[in-house]
Amino acid sequence: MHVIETQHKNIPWRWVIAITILKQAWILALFASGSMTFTMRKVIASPMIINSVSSLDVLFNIIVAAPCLYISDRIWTRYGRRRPFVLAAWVVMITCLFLLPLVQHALPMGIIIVLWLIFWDVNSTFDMLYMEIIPPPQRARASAIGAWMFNGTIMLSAVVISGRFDDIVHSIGFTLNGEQLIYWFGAACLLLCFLFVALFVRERKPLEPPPPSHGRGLVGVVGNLFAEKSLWPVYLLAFSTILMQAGLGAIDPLLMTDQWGYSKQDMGTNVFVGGMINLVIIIPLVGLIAERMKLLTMFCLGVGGTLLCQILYYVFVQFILPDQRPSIAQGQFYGIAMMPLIFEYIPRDQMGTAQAGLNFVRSITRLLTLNGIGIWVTTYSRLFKPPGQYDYFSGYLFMILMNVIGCAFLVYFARQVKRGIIKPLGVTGFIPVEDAATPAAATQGAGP
Amino acid sequence: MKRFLVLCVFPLVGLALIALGVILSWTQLCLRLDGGKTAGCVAGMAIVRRDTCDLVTGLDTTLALTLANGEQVRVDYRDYAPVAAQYVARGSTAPRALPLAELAPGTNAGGQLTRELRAVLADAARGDATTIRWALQREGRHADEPTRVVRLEKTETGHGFFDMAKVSATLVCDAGGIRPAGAPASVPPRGTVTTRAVFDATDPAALLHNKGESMTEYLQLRGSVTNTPEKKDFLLYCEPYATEFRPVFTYAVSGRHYALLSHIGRHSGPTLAIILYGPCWVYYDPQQPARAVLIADPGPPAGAWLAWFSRVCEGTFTQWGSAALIILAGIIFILIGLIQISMAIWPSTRLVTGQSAP
Repeated sequence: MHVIETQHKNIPWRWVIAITILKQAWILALFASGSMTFTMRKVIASPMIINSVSSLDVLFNIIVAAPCLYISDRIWTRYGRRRPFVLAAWVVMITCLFLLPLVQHALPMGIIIVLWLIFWDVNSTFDMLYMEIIPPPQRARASAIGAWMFNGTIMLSAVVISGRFDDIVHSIGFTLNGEQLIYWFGAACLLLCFLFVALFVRERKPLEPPPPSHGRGLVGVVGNLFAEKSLWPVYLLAFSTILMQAGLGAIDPLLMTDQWGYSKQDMGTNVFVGGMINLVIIIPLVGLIAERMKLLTMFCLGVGGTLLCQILYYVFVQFILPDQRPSIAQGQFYGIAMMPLIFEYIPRDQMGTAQAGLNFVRSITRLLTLNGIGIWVTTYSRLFKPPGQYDYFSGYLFMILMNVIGCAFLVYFARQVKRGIIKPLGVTGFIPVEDAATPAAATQGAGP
Repeated sequence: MKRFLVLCVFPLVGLALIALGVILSWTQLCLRLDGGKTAGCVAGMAIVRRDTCDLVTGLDTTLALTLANGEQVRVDYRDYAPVAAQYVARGSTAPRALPLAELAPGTNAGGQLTRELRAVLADAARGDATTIRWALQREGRHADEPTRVVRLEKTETGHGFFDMAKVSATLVCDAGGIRPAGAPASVPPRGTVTTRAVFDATDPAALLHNKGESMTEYLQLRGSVTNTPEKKDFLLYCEPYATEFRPVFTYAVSGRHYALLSHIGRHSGPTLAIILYGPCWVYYDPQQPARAVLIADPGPPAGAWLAWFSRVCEGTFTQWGSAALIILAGIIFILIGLIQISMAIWPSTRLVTGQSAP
């Protein structure tokens, strides 16, 4: 049988390898879309607008991905329940990636990027399809294969793809620029996904009936998420965690290239070397520490460490480095120091309502912080920089401010835990469900 | 039959992509594998805009530095190599020539110039306006140091052929330097673009008032006409993003000199791995030496190893990255196709039909 099907108790490992390669192609397309910051920068100068457009992704997580995931659980068509979403999304996404490097004006570019972001969320059902193909007993090994391939994909993307954006090659009578290459490579990867799912994947109707609807539409769903008061502290924790992971968003690559003058290849090389160090040293080290420490203690250390690192880094760059520009190696060191603190390796809780509520809180908070940082950098630059210049690094001040607020919430949370008001089970279950910035985490967390 | 056709889709698409990647880089690949190798030089830069092109063949740069103690240093460069250096002591009007060996950055050559001053000179000679701002900012941190640079004036004169309709891939390289191919009447006259910028940090209050902006004067002349470029910067850095920078490389085979436009270029500025007036490798066709390909020469590991490694990656993937990515996409298609074909020919015995365990 060469058609891959869902709902089997046991599947050939060749299926697992094929579908995992497919997922890497899907991730490569996601990485290709990472260049959209630079594409926007060609025609849009304001970091506020760039970050606002990028932050729409978070908004669509709520208003597009969540309903699509919800509906895909409750429908059945002759093509299955996930495939219609996935295939329709990929057709639009391939078109977007094909057209994006060809447009030169802000409006059509904005429309294409917004369409991409919308349909990226429609295609979030792919993750469910992936999980339905691989049965639970084989998921652990599939996950290990996937993690191994994912690291390879990151390396490839960092060292080969991201630096190509500015390149131009003249050959056999035509010209191919790097932007076209990156987006069209992403489109080819999505085309592979489309052909594979269209030709070789079949969904089988599940035996159990679909879960009941909450009623009252989206309002009802959101209402249910917040009806359970015992989950409120957990949402508060998620809120503070996201505040602390505010990051610079789309401004980050602009800080590296526009302000500090590094090339996109330098940026990619940095990620590559950091990824290697992460794989060889940091992941085993974090695993070792995680076994010997309580999660809340580790979390507190993470929070304090993150805040301290950010303050020290800001002071170092702004007041100690003579030209306020770190070398690539100094930037790398900061990245390594941060790695153990972001807690993406801590096991996740699987409780549906809390998970959905966390996603909701996380999305709203991220939407606010991403837009906040764009406004902050623009305002700061207007006040303290000559016209036309942006101080992207000033975004660190906003990040530090968010960290301080996050820390205050954490102190409150820790005190509640100490008093026994918040049960440790909830703490151990929900703290680690974070880091939506990594694609794997984001997709795995997109369950209905 | 339908099943057979479906199974063929992935390998066929994969093969088509691999063929496209190979065709895209065929000429360069053949020259790299079978061609003769010789040392070359990146001797010029073509600046290609939507409607006009410039061919820069030479760059004369003059740096005039004023130190906090009133001393002055003036260095002249031709194609980024120092040709003359002078030092004027405080209160004196008579300049004194400085040995050029003193200008080498990162050495302890001693003499009149401090290590920091040599670093500023090295940065300013090649760098753009931002690099000079950083250099001045660095100097400003040593507020009590009498030999810190407080004012820097850079005058850069680009020689070449400007405002041409296009630059042909093959150029002429003779005793007069590089010039576009064609009958003398069709070749535009040589011209110049002069850019002068002054960066002044003498008065900290004024600098603060300008929100840290140290550039106080800027003027660019194309020939004798004042030009206002997209960015207030020097010739290779003042263009909008869409402008393409294509290196021109020269090499010699059997005593004859050749000049070619490289097949790789870059938006937003010169290609980083292919350094203007720096060395490169050239692979040429022994039968037709005018057919050649430029390969970046990152040189031996020097300075920050991460920056060197980045340069190596940049050089390699600028050259081969496009074809490699297309071929990679083809390989992924073929890999998936082969897995599916293997499933059709040797079905697995592991498949257990039924509802998956909860």
